[in-house]
Amino acid sequence: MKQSMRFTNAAWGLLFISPWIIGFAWFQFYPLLLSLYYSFTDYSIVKATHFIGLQNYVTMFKEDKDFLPSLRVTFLYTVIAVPLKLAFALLVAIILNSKGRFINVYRTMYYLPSILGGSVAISILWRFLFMREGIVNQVLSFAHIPAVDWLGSPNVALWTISFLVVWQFGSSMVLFLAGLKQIPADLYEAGMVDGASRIRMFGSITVPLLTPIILFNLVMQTIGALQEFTAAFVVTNGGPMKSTYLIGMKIYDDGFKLLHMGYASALSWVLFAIILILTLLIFRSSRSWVHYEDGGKN
Amino acid sequence: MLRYGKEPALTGRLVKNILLLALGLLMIYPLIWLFFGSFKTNTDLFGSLSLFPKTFVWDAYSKGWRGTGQFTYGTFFLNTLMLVVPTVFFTVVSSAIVAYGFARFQFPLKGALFALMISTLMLPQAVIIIPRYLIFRNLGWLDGYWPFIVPAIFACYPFFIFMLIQFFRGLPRELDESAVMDGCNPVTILFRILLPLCKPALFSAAIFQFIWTWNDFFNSLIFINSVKKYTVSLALRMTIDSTGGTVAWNQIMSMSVLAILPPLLIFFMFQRYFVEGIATTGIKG
Amino acid sequence: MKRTFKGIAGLVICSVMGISLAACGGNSANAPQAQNGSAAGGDSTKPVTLRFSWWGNDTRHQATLKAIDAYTKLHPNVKIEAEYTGFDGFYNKLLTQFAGGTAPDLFQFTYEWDNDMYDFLLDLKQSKSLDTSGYDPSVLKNFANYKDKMIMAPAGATSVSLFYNQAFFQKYGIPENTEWTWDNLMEIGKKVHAQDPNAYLLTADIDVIYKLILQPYVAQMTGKNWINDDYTPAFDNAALTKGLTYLSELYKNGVLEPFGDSSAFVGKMEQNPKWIKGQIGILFDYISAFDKYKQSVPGGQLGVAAYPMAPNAPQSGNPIAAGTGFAVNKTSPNAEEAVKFINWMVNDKDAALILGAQRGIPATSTARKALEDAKQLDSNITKGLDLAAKQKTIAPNVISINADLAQIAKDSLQKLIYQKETPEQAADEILKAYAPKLAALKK
Repeated sequence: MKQSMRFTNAAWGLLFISPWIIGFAWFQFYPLLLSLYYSFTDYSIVKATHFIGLQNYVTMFKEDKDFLPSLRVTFLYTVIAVPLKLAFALLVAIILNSKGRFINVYRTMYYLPSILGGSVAISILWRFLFMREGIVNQVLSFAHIPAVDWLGSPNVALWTISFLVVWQFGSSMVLFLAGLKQIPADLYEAGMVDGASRIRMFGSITVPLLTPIILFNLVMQTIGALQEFTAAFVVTNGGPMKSTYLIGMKIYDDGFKLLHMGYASALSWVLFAIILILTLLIFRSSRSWVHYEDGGKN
Repeated sequence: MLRYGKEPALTGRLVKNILLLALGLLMIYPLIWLFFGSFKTNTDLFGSLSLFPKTFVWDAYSKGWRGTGQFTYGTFFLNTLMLVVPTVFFTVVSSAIVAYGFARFQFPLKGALFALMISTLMLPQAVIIIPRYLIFRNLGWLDGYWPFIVPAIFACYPFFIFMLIQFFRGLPRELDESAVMDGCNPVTILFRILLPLCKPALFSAAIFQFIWTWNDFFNSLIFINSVKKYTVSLALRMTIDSTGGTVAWNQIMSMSVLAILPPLLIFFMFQRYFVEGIATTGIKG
Repeated sequence: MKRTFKGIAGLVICSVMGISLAACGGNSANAPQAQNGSAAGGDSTKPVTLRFSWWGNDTRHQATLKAIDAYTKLHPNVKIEAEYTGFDGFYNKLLTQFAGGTAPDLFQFTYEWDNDMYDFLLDLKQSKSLDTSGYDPSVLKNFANYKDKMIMAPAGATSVSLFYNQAFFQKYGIPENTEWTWDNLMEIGKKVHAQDPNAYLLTADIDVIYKLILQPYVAQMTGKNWINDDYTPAFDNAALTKGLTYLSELYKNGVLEPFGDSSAFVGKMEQNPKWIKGQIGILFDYISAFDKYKQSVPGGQLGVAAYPMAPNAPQSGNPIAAGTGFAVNKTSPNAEEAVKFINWMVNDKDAALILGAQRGIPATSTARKALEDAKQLDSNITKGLDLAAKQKTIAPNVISINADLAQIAKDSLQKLIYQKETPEQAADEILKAYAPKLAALKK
């Protein structure tokens, strides 16, 4: 009896995930495998391909002067941008998670940057905001703060890029909002009956029940940040002096500009390994801080 | 609703609203700038920091809409809808089903399969685009919208699967168990019990997928050839020649403003589902 | 996630499944997509569909679409599918299409891609449909031919020019007929900046610094290209150091706008507010960009002058480039028809009038004459070309524009500009990094 129950459970599970298994095998596995193969070749898209073993990986660590610095820049960027973005998103979500006449308008306003982010026209605005005689410096000058070279200074440019990305906190905010909505109101009612303060309830009800979503946002934002490309590509083009030369941009340059696609694939697989390890670490740690309502039986 | 504690005092509400509005204006400044930019000449646009045009140019919208004359933006908007709507629909449905399988059932190799699924997000687009292109070429799907829609049918957007898993796992398992008592099978549990409770998450997924597919440039560029099948985001870049030609930026801005409206409306309409939530289910005894 | 590490066996199973499925998908149909037409060289009444892709802006798109209309009226059996986009991503897309065997039958092309795409392009010499008599032989030799093939039919000619803001010149008392040398550029630039600390005689992005200042400056000393045909640098350490020193002096003396300020406008200097406000006097760019800069200067007061030349320099380092044109996909089943269409675009009088100077001043004599007779040529653009033509120059070569070499030099240039390296150090660094790269490229 128990045996057959377990079998049906497994069968149902496999049945439900079967669309993804098919989709993965059909569309995703071959690109993964092929890019791994490319990483052992000198594939250049346009010329004959030769198998060169580990050469690409050796080059990366021994000869490529940009590889380690750009990894460093990428880590720095991730460490700056991800926590800031999540903290900001959570804060705004909590404020906007209330009733009020204009709350839907506010939510839309705060989500707007995430819609606009990919717009071609907006990149012009970025330059306007952050160039030396730009809007940000003008505003600062009212407060008698000296002008900052937002895009032209190697020490500052990465912060500027991070700022742009944090500004697009909308998706994380929306997920926090959705998570907050999933918290049963009667928990708070029970809390109120017990005379718990709002801050206490925030700490003992809101945050624990939100941890699955915090985990999700943390993992996804980390994966995204380690591969970030657009912001640096559009606004600073990796400069000045490679201070914003994120690994995602380097991979694009090597693959599609210099046509060393085999090498770019090798870089990608190293990045893949790094992301995988970091993600595993986050998941490992999550056991001690994520609270699942389903009893954590998975 | 999630309003614990006492109703804040009027002054408190006022302060909160003013702060929200001030920060909110900062958020939408780019849209306002974009809007006024669509009435500026190139010189005015690039030569001055002022928000308002020196002289208004009124024809950017009509000229921009006509595009190169071969197809209007009407075509491009329609194309984008034809691409985006099925993609969004199938993404949400298939991701919910797969997420349910991962969240609620035990099966062999579950951990490995989950890791495999997440790991498909970990390789940069630049190196897998050519292999993907080869797959869709072999299927004969190039220059169409199948490369977006069919992967959606087969849950190839792990972001959403993982996201919905997290939401499902936030729902107590007692729900399922009591439903089984009432004679529900796994399918009806998903559709009658869990999905209604996950409405905010499902609508978030729909909104995200709508906006991301709507804005996507790189994939559309690679997979679509014919101008008559161009999406809006392709069309917006269609006339930008960074090698030297002059670009009528006010036309690009005007069409950018129009291109933002559908996602904006979608968000505005759907966001009320974050308000509803599951406040009254009383599932916790 | 708990069982991740236990699941390696699962990965393997899944892999096997994936391989078998992917293999099913991977082995069918390798033929390119364009199959509608007849075999190459068929009679001229069989229906043929050509896919034609190009990049450009609105006016170029409209002109080209009109030309397609006109051509298909003349040849009702030919249908031409236009696949046009902006420049961004065009190269990536074409590469992907070559990788997939789905490239269009013909496309706009630039000689800068010669080395990348050579293998995929039709040898136009093999085709009888292209009349090359209207081209200057040197244009054919330098731009149409690569290795042993003729791979491009050049569409238009252009050259580097010196664009100046006329109002700026008046304000600072710079005569418009100044004959620019590197020395007077420095002197006048110093004076301008001394008069007004917000004004700079010149601005340049990293590409312009490398391609249009450093390379020609060095070439005027050596009399050669940047890299010799035998894949050795055409300059020695001393020449390069001199060039780099000159460049760093330009920055130190305030002749060039500070690098950080202009770095947001790479490839789009016409958007630089300082230029638009008239605080910058001179830009270097290809003459074909004239309109773009003219529109961005108040009152459209833009002048064209000859590119700076050192006295007694053996050559200018600024050849007339017929760098953009059309190429044909080698695997196209309708290659011959594609060549016929190209022939019409580059040689026909009516085509010339429709296409105008959208891809530069027409490279063939018939087309250029048609535009001249119809007074459709902007006198400024022809002036820029004529000025460049008057200077002594030598034929460019493809290795000198290699992207890897450019990357190396630009990295060192930035270190020089940010004063992390002296000109001597930067020169050493560039030469040191060039040696293995050139050796690898030669293979």
